[in-house]
Amino acid sequence: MHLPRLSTDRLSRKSAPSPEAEAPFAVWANLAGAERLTAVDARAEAAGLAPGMAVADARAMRPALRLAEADPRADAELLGRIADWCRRFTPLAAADPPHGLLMDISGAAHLFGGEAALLAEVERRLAAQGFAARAAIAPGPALARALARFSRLRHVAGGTTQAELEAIAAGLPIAALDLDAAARLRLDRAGLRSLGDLLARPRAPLTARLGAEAMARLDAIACRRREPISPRFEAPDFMAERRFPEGLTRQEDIERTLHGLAQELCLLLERHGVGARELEAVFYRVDGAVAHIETGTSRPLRDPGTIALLLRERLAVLAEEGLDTGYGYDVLRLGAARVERCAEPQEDLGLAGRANAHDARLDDLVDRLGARLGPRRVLRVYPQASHIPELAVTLRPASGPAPAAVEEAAPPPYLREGVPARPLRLFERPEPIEAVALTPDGPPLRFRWRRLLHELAAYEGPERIAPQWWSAPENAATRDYFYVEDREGGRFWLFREELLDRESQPPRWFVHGLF
Amino acid sequence: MSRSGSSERIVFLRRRIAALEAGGAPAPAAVPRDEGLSRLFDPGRGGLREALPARPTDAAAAAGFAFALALSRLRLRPQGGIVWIAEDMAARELGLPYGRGLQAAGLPPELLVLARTHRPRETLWAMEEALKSGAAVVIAESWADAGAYDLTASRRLALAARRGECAGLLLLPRAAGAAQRLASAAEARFEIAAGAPPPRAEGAPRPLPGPPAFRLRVVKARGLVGAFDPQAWRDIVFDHQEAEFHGAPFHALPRRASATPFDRPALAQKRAFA
Repeated sequence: MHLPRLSTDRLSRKSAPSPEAEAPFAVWANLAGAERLTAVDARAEAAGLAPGMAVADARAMRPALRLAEADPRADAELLGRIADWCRRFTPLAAADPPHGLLMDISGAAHLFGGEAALLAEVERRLAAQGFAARAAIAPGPALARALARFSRLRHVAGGTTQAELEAIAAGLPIAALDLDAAARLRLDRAGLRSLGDLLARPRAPLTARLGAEAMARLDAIACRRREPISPRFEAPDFMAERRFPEGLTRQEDIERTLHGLAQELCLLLERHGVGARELEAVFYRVDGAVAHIETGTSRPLRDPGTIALLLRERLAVLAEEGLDTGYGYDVLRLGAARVERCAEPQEDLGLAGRANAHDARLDDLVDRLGARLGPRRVLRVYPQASHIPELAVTLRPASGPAPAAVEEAAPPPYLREGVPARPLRLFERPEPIEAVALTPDGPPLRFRWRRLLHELAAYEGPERIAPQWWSAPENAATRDYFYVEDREGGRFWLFREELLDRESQPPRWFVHGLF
Repeated sequence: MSRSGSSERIVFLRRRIAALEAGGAPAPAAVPRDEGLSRLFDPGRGGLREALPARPTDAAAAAGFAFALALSRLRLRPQGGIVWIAEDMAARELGLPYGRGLQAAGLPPELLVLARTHRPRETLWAMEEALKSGAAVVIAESWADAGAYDLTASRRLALAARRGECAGLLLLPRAAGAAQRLASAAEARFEIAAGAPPPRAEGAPRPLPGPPAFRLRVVKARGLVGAFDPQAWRDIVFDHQEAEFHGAPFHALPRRASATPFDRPALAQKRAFA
């Protein structure tokens, strides 16, 4: 599919029709120091303007020309969104920058009444949204791409023989090869105008002149070689979808449909003996917008109720952020993007089985919390082999895999007569304090933290924690930790930071944790 | 003081008068102190409990108390684990739960799931979900004010806790000092202050910090109405090895400082004479 006027359509479909909007419209960018047009709309083209023209020339030709600066990023984003939208026709859709889209419709066209009907529907729907689009269907993606751009022929049926395909390819101009300007000029000078001229010639000299890449492209267009489409999103292995003649707008309806889809999906999963680890629900709105929700699970899932519950959480988040149902969603699709072999539920007797059931419930909780809060906000604690306090544990998403277990020196010497030597709470960043100490290596007599003055009542320390000399940067500081209790009973874990080679500077004090 | 707070106090006093009239001997409380506490902390029961610091600086102590309570429940019911919900604001003010510290205090890290939330609403939602999920204990720290944590919210949480047979501990550091004014459907509410530091003898060097000590006031205890004086402070110490609370402090604590309610000296004198 080719969208030749993507840049201008992007802007003009936003503005309301008005007398001004009748004027020709073009987009310009600063290319190699000169302001040149990069895209023109249909009226501008009819008026004789073309991409590559200097802005000043264009203005001189058409004083009424409306201009806007090019925004390649917005164009690319829009193209991506259109590719998403295209996935309502087939799961395999890919953006083909700068102005194209590729869809693999094998096995999908009959759902829309055949290839020709599908072609018409795609173009009609895009035109309704304000995009000038030319689509073509062919047995090979490269051929379809070339047809959409350079040929009137729009539909090459699947059963066409190789000879016929080559005849079609032969009619295409050299430009379909996407060669650089110099190579094109050389071919032009040699009198080669169409692909047929190239196909008829011996390969070896051509390869030497044009390079292997161009020849590969030529082969692809002639369908001698099949190039795969690399889709924007991996097509899910298992999916279920529903289409509605009218868009769904009520959230309850959407939830109910999702529940139905979950049941269908679970049947599929069960037949293959797998469970979903990543789920993806896609909503296609009537007016072309596409909403995605994705959620991961911490164990292979194939229970429709649980899946529907997870999706409901995600949907609730969307609803809180303002889910715009607009004219409604007319296609809903639920897919399992990643699956894993799922152990058959086994009835166990005894306590072990009960404990497992419990873990499963906790896993479900982790998924549900993760669906709403984001998987990176639901964490588990894993000990690490490090003596630096903040590196001694790591927090990882609870739904993800656990890091390799660390060999721990049997019970760490953290307990002194019922007194834990590590704080219950640690600040993500140590907070600087003002402290007054009597001796250079002693505890602070008093310190000011968050504008409050604390007086020392009891303490233990110092416990010296040096940086890892084998990996620390040059200026890493040694820390002397103190367990300090103030007159009010507040318990703090303070440290004094000392730069070993700069002892003349006063030491800096920090609060690192609270007991 | 709110109506609920004063009515608890009146019930307590009535019980006490009844006991005086019946037996003649002055009974300090209807239920002996430690038995009452252990019934209140009874880890077998599910339910929603609230911990509020007495002063803003006691927030860490309140969190420590909630964790100690969680540990004592886990000792009896090890399956299920702890779900700890930390709101961003609370994490900024108090820090995040530290794995090594929890380990040192007796919690194996694999039993912990830590959920971080942005807003009080999220925290309360996550807490309700967690209470229903069959975790043994759910600790939630929320910066919620009375607007976000109202009767409806607390009722939902209390129901979820009862249904899930789960102990829910809600820490409200922002409501420091407001324990008597809060209205909620919780089973019990504790007002926590940090325990007094160990005393220092004249001329002696500064002592070592003792085990985690708290001063607490049972502001509300459903089902145990009248068993606790909602205005009496008591000292408790948590023993990590046994994972249980002791009514008396480990080190010989002079009764004067610790038993005095810091905001009601007159009441303290009366109690001293009683």
